[in-house]
Amino acid sequence: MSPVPGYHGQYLRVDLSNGTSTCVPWPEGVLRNFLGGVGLGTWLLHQETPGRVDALAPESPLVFVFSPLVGSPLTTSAKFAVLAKSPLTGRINDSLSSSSFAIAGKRTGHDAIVITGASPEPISLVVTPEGVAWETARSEWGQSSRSAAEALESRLGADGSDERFGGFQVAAIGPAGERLVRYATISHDARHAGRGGLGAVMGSKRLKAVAVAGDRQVAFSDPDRLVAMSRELSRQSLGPATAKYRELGTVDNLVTFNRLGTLPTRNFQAGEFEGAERLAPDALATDRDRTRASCAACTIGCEHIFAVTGADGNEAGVRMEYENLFALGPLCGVSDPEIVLQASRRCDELGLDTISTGASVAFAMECAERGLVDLPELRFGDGAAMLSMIDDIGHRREAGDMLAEGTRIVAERIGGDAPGLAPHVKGLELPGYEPRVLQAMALGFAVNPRGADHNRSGAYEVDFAPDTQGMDSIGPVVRVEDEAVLMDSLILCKFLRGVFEDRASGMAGLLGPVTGWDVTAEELLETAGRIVTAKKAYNIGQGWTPDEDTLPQRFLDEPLKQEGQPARELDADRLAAQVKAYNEFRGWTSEGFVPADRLVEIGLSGSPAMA
Amino acid sequence: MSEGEAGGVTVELFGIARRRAGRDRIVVCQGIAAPSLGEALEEAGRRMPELAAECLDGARPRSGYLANVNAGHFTTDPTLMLAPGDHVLLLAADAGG
Repeated sequence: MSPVPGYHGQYLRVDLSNGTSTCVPWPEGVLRNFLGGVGLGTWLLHQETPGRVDALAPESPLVFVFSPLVGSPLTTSAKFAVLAKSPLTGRINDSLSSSSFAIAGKRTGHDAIVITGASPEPISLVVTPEGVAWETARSEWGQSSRSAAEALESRLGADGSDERFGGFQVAAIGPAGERLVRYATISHDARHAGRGGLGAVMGSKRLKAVAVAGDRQVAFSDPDRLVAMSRELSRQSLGPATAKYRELGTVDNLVTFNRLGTLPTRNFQAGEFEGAERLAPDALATDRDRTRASCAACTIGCEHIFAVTGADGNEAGVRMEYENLFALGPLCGVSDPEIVLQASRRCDELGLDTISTGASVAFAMECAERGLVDLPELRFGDGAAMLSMIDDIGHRREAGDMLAEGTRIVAERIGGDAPGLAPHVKGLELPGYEPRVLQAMALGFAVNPRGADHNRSGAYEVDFAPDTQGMDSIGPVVRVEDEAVLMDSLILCKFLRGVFEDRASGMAGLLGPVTGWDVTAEELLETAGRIVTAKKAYNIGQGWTPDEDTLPQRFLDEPLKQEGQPARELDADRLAAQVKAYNEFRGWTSEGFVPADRLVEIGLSGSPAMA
Repeated sequence: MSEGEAGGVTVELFGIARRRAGRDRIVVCQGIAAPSLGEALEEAGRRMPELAAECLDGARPRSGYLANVNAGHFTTDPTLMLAPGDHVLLLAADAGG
């Protein structure tokens, strides 16, 4: 039987422990029910996880997933998802990255690659349509992801065998992943599957890199219509809805958020930072070059790359986004742009998630200033101490070894007041949105299966919606979470959000000419609910309890004081009531458990991950 | 607050609005006792045509933009009444990043 257009109809399962690989066909209905990317990856984790596992154990699967849109001419579709149980949270983690790895990976002839087991020696995995090969990674072990990828690409291309496949693309880990830092990243072409420590999962398998290349193309159901729709989407992507991303980048949020009092500062002790203007995008570019770049198959070009002095003293470039800017700047009280850029560059080289790194350092700074830990060198605003600590985290040296565990584990070890000050939900450190000001976002942080996150729940959109104060926020919070999971499953870049008049309808319109499915917005939203429920069910199988769906005590106890404004407070009882209402809106029990009949409905009754 | 800002409404510009206008703020509606948001934005647009062309639709923020009053309430309602000394923030509606 021919595969569904847009898909190859199979995934690849690789076992590193015994060196075997097999191709597995998708069961009937799974593709339409879970789409691709994050959705299909969630289904795979359910099938491939043998009960409750340690995230860093050999049997814990690591999943790379492509999507039906990859390889199409649709702008921003060159993306891939990576999923595993997170060593940082102990819960499901899905992280996205972009560019040529997605295209080359799909050309291997597989819709996904599932990696289980662990190698006794450092290796790299090489996947082509001809099969799977293993390369020793002894010489790359210890290198940055970029250096390792370049070395592997060079070696694989030495005999010219890669040319018929258009060259290899590589995703790799840095030293932090090798040392099992719980927020280590997986990187491809300086873009990162950043959150939740998937790099540590790869490191636990002694897998330095995955190289992919191929020539297998999928068929599309209606190529002419797809081309016409792609042209229209590209045209829209160059309009005013994306001007901010093209011209300024997300770093522009910093000044705006500062003015709104929602810029987390000094470990969430304040919502405004006196040094914000020094870190504004135009200020960052005053004394240094700024260039723009884009992922493969993208017309937006949101990446703004700033020149900085690298660790070797040479000039280098670093991609700056709002999140790395806030986390390594205001959150740590640092306003020197050169230090912040260097810190971000260093995180990239080591393979560290910038949000969790900045949050871990900021948390340690506050604990040190309060006398909860004996780290006299760590003080808010001390950029040199921050840079030194980042190196120590990446190499798990001295106090960095402790901070490499993430704020939740560190806080539990410190005890006393520390757990209430640790800025995480389910172990995942908060991004740069102050939840006492953005209270729909507070709910989004609390309930999201991945933990505190702005990419899986865009509930800040509800906070930013005009003239809605006092409205019930549950329905809109669910809606933006559903739209996000659809974009992460198809996969499309979220910076396209503004070009769709109705996102679900727009996405349904794009999926039709790819797959041939007569899919509607209503069906897609139902699919989104299925995927979110599948994530929740995975977490339940891995030990989730209702008390995880809240925010740290600081946000519930300490009002946020702001100049010229009334203090902002997040009411604990109101948040708990909203969580309950959210659970009921989803069709779960009020505590958040998924009823047995709902598991049957979504085809996950008896899932191995829940055994 | 500067002397110039005291008698009017200060429209603060962020992101693309700031870039198009080439400045970060403008004081409007000076001498008006109870201006509306629409009056404030219309005057800002008249005095900064480059801002109006991309970010304003007469008395309202254009699609993709919104206003915020005194770093509190988000709105696009041109009939919203302001008071002298108020600050209107004009910013992109998309806060993602």
